[in-house]
Amino acid sequence: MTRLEATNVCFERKDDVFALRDISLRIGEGEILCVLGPNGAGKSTLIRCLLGLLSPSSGGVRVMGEPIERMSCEKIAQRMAYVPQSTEAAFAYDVEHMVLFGRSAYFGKLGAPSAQDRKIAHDALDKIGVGHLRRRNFIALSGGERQLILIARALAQETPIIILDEPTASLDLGNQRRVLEAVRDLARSGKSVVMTTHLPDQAYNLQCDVALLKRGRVIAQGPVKEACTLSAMNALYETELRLLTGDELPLLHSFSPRLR
Amino acid sequence: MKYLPARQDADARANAAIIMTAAALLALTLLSVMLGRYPLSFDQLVGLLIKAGRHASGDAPTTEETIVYMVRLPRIVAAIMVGAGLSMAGSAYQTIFRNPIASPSLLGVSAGAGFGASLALLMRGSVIEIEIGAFTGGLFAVALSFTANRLIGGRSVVTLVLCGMVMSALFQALISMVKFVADPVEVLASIAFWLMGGLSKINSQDAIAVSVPVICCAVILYAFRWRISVLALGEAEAASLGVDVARLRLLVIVCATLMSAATVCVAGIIGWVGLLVPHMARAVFGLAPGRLLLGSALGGALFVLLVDDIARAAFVVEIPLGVLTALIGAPFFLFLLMRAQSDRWS
Amino acid sequence: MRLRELATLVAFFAVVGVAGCAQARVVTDMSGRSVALPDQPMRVVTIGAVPVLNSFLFALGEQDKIVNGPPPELARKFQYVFAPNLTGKPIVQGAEKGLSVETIVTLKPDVILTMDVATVQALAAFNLPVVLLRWTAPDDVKALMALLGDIFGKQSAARDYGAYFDKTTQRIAAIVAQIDAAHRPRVLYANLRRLTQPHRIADWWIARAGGRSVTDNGRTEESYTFSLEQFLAWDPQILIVADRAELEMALHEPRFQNVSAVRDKHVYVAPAGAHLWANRTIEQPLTLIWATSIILPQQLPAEAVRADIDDFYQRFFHVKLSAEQIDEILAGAPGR
Repeated sequence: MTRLEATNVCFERKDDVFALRDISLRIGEGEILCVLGPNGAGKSTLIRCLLGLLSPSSGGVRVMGEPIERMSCEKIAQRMAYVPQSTEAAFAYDVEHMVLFGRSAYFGKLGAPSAQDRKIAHDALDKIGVGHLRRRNFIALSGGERQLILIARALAQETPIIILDEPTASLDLGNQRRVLEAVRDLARSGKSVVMTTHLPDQAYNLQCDVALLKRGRVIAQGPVKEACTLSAMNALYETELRLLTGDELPLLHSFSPRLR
Repeated sequence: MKYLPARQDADARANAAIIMTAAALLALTLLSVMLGRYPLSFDQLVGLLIKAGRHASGDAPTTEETIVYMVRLPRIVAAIMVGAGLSMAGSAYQTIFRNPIASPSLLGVSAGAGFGASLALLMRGSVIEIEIGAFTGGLFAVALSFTANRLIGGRSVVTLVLCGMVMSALFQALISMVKFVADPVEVLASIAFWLMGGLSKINSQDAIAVSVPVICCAVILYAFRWRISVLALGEAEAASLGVDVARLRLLVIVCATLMSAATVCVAGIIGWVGLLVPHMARAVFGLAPGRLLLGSALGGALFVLLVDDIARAAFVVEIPLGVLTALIGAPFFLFLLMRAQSDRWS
Repeated sequence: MRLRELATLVAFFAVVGVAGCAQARVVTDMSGRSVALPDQPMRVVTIGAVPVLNSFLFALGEQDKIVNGPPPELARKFQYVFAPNLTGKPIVQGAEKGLSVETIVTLKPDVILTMDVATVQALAAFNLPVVLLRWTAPDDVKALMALLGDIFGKQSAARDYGAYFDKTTQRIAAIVAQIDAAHRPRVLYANLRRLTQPHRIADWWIARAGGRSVTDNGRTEESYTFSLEQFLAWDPQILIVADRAELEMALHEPRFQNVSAVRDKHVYVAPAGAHLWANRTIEQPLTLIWATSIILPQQLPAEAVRADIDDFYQRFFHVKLSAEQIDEILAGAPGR
């Protein structure tokens, strides 16, 4: 059953440049979709359109079959969770408070978190494996731990769809592994996951579907083994790459630029 | 990197801080009633308070009753409301603008109110007219900031804040214009004194006039406290968490503006309270939204009541309240900055 | 070329000589400065407290010589009653005490009168004939009038005024002496809007008129600011305000209900003729008489006051006031 669907989405920026042209994607239950593309391809714009933060100039997004423009903020938040690349929180919240924010869509208009909400937050932290950090100060943690906590927050939001924007950016290899494992587990538990990245290796490790985004257009789509060929990658990144194959975890840089 | 102490300890400490602040406020209120130029002993005061319950409304009040009920008590209530209102407005602004040192006058309410009042003083209006002028001036300035932001198509808080800065500067210039054309014999002095802020002429009507908006808006801010706190995460995150960012932000700005305008219209321009108290409150009371709002309100009330007591009792001639809050607040803020070692505010 | 130089020199000396002839004498003003003035000044400019300065000239009968008009914020109706020529005259001072020097120079004044030192310094730089007058102690008005009498050749009128001033103070002192010092009522003259007592001279005339001014604390500042509590603590028995609007305010303010003056309806508006009588004005003797009549009404009935007023304005201002005009003066300014 299609959970999230984008149909012919175009997004035009003010300076007449098309950030997105004719994007069509769909994702179902338990699936992962990796949106691959170089910097400036329009990945973040696509994420914002999918989340309903930006209105497409044409085309539409449907969440669980319903057009997104007809849904209230709260309803969208009960269906889709967002894991940003980093958080811009202005104050030093502790980890529990940060994850509790994930329950905002369920507080009701005037509500405050209930004991049930707190329990869900604690469980989410435990599920991701960072329960021991519950009382710590969020900004005092390392990048990897913070990312995992943001994923825990998305988990606490109890949504069928989770969207992550470059979740492993600026993380070391060990943390990259932990985050990717968490993403894989999310999909295994039945959630639909959309993830943007510019590393094709991650799609390989997750063995998922990819959509290659270049200059606002999807130039290829499908299972990673079919869509991510060497020539496709060269075209995507406009550079010469080498393909090294291997089929072991952890992450291997299977695509690496050939230096001149 | 500092570890925060165990959550329960921090919680318990913050709750204790709330209770202590509330107790201090109560104690200071009682002390303030006894403070003043008219000599009033403790026995007389107790007698008056007891008599209040059984007082027949037909009799004319004695001088002692006039002093306590019509001069001191309204002033104390007004001081508490001004402190609480400005602090809550400041706390709300610091949250939604994601700026730990935002003040309630960010969008121009103080400058606008100052202009409205100066204009009313220039036209030799009555006290009521001056208050109305201040109130509408404050609302007008913020509305202008908002409209300007819309007109330039700004979508983030940054442009809104910039429009606020522009409007503040504009209205400050207009205040100067009014001062320039004002009659130096009477009007100019009145304007200058009004702008410096003070509670020396507060009567019961003023106390009620400031209490109503402050209490109503406080209730609204408290009701929406958790959703408002989500706005501190940034627009994209807050929206994705289910918060209607634009509407909630508007609600907060309306409430904060009403509270600030109400305080300015009875007390003149009082600075530093709305910036300093919420800032300190976060350190003392933690970030749990309900407790933080309550703590800001209590802390602000305590601060302004204390400073007003100093203003009216410590010196022979009364010092304007706005001057004292700045004289005390600014160095204290510097002191806090020096002591801030943790990476709380990155 | 030598001829041209010579001609310029001759012209220069001629001008100076002529000018010198017009500056016939040197007068010492009340700050000790020497000012060169013509024998008979025909054009006078008053700067600063214009109505007060004008009133000095009214009392000497020299009001026709005033060439500038009172600024709108200071103007009073009776200024024009005593000096109809003031209507339409140019105003030389602006809102922020800015002097319109060009206008002053255009008016070609023979003498400029002022009580502000700053004005003297500003105008002396332009070589304008500025005379500084000073009135700090109550008696200074006699010396002031003597100087003006000297300038305008009206020495006898000045002496006359001085004699009247002394006679009035003695007369009032005699009336007041009959009253026991302990029975003198507490009196406050104040601006209730700003809670200030604006003029120290009020302490003097209240005391002379048989009252005890509650703000008389030996201060040197002109004005005295007090708090609401202080006002209630003083509990004045007689309250004098500057305009009728303040009278209304005082009678209706709920917090003043217990104040003796309000309770017993002893709140009065200070009369205003050429200037507010409660402040420094040439009409100060009348202030004393009026104040005595409200503080000690048995000793000085109202009719006597009216007679004195009539007499004063006829004698010194050479104006016969109608009964309505006297009523108007006694009623005080309407206020805002």
